[in-house]
Amino acid sequence: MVEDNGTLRPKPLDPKFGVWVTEADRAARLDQLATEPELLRVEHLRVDFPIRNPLGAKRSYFVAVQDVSFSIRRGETLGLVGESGCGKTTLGRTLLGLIPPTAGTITFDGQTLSRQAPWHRLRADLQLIFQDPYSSLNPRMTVGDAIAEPLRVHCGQERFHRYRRLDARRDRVAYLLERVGLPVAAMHRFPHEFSGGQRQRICIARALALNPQLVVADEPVSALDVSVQAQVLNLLKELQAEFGLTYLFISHDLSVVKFMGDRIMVMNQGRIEELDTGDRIYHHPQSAYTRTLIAAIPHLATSWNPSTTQESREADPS
Amino acid sequence: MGWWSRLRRNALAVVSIGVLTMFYLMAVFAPWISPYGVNQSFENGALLPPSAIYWHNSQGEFIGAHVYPATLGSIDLESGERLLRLDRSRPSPIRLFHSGHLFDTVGGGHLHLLGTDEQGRDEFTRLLYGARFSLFIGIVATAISFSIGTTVGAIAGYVGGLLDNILMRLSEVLMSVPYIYLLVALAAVLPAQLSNTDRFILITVIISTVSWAGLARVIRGQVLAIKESNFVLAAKAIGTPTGSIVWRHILPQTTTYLIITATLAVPGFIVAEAVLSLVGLGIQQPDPSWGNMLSLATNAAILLLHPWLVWSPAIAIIATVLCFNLLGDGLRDAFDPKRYP
Repeated sequence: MVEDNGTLRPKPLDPKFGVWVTEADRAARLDQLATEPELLRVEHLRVDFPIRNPLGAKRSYFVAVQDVSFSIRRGETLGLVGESGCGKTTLGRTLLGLIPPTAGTITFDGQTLSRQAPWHRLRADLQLIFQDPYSSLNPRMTVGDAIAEPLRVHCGQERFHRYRRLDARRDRVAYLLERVGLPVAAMHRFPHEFSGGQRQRICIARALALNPQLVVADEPVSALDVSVQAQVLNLLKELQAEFGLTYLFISHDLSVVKFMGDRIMVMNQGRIEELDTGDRIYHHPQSAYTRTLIAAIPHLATSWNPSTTQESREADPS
Repeated sequence: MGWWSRLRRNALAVVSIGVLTMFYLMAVFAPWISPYGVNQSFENGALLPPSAIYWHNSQGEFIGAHVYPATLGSIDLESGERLLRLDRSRPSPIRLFHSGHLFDTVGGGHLHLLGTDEQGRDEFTRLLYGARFSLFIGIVATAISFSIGTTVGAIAGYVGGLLDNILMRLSEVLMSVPYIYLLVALAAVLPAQLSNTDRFILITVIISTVSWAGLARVIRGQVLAIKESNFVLAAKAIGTPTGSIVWRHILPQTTTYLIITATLAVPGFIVAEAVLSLVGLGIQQPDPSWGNMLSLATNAAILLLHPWLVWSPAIAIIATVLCFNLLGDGLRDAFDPKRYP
């Protein structure tokens, strides 16, 4: 692509999202991230679900996550990709303490997350964005109350004492709504009055209310249509830059993860298949499963789409 | 469109709201509406039929609405009926908003809108005061039984496990006891010298403590479903304490059901009180309740010769129960968005 002044314009990483990032930008960002401290460290994590027989006795176990180890640096986005049922969501919820791990350790900001951990304080730093924006908001709570809920719940902590006042909470909600691109008047309305994309923005505002350190985004855009996906993903990126957020970004869509993630972790049947930077996973996949995943991406036959490289065309079964 | 505007389009529900509001206001303002005392006996005034209102005096002149002092003559031995004697020489004009009441009469005559009972007490006045027991027992008993039922259901559904089992078996035991026999047995062991206020409170407590079981089971079922929903998980992820999750996230989802069921439950309690009072175990004379006024219906002579004493409490109970049921149906339709696409 040649621009008017004759210089070569950089390739878009993925034209679907309309953002132009050069390879050099990416490399610089990765170098800079390598100097950041680790925020989250997961070692040999295993999560089992007991399968009970009709009498309630534990008969066997379903292993949802087995022997998973990785770490996320502060400010990084780690993309987690895999097919439905591979344990992505379980992994994300285990990190937030919603599902107890069977074995392994999770260290967050120097603190080991166990049953004895000060969860009430930690919850303010660990937030979750759900896949389905239709069911993750209480239909009988106004948007303002929903976004203010984390402020209300955690205002007992010294660092959030200012939110003990109602008007401080209201100001914060108004700021957050504005920041995610919704009118301030939205706080008095109910979730059913909003579209899917708007609801996901509400969920994002809610997750960011307390300036969390780590946000686990569990398929935040897979329930949205493609044009809205791009808006929400760009919003997440902007907010990351602005608030210094760290994301664990879960998706089944490799192109979305590639756009968001600094590094990508491929998961299959509870195990990690591969963990590397986005470009290397995309262009030089090491495991057979990753290659299948890449081949499964539907793509336009355009010369600048990285997914239509010779390699992936050959891997495409069609 | 909100549920209120949908409800307003339902004519039956609107009429029910109007009738019920009127009944409750009449119960509250009973001393203002009626010029007579609830236990005021009129001399020679027993078993008078509803007073006839006249407009012209015995000379045929128009003197406005008035009544004549009425007494009963001797009994006709053939038919058992008694002659009504009116003192046409003493017309007593009816005045509205007079002497601190809605209506009153001046002179010797009294306006008995619904006649008088066998002790010469004004039936209309007793109906108004009786409504205080009968109508409020429905509201209070519903409030108590719904508080217990919702609390037990929410705890059983949310906590689950052993506690759930214990609470649900307990409610099944309560449900398996025949309701009316339990009430009769419990009411029968109450000491006879209890004041009627204490009796009212005891009856309310008894009725409401045996009737929460069905509600608790339904609420438990709803809580079981709602606690698995994503917005509850989201609240947990935020760190919302358990009590707050139940109170702010789970129970509000059941309010529609609760409002409708409560509306439909009120008449059940009114009827339960009426049945207890009818068999003599509820509110005791001389205090009136619709149930013990209706107990006159067990006397064949009154049923045949003085039917107004039976009709008035019966119609009051039927109208109240019917209005609550119609309102409950209207609310159910109004809260169900699928009925109005």
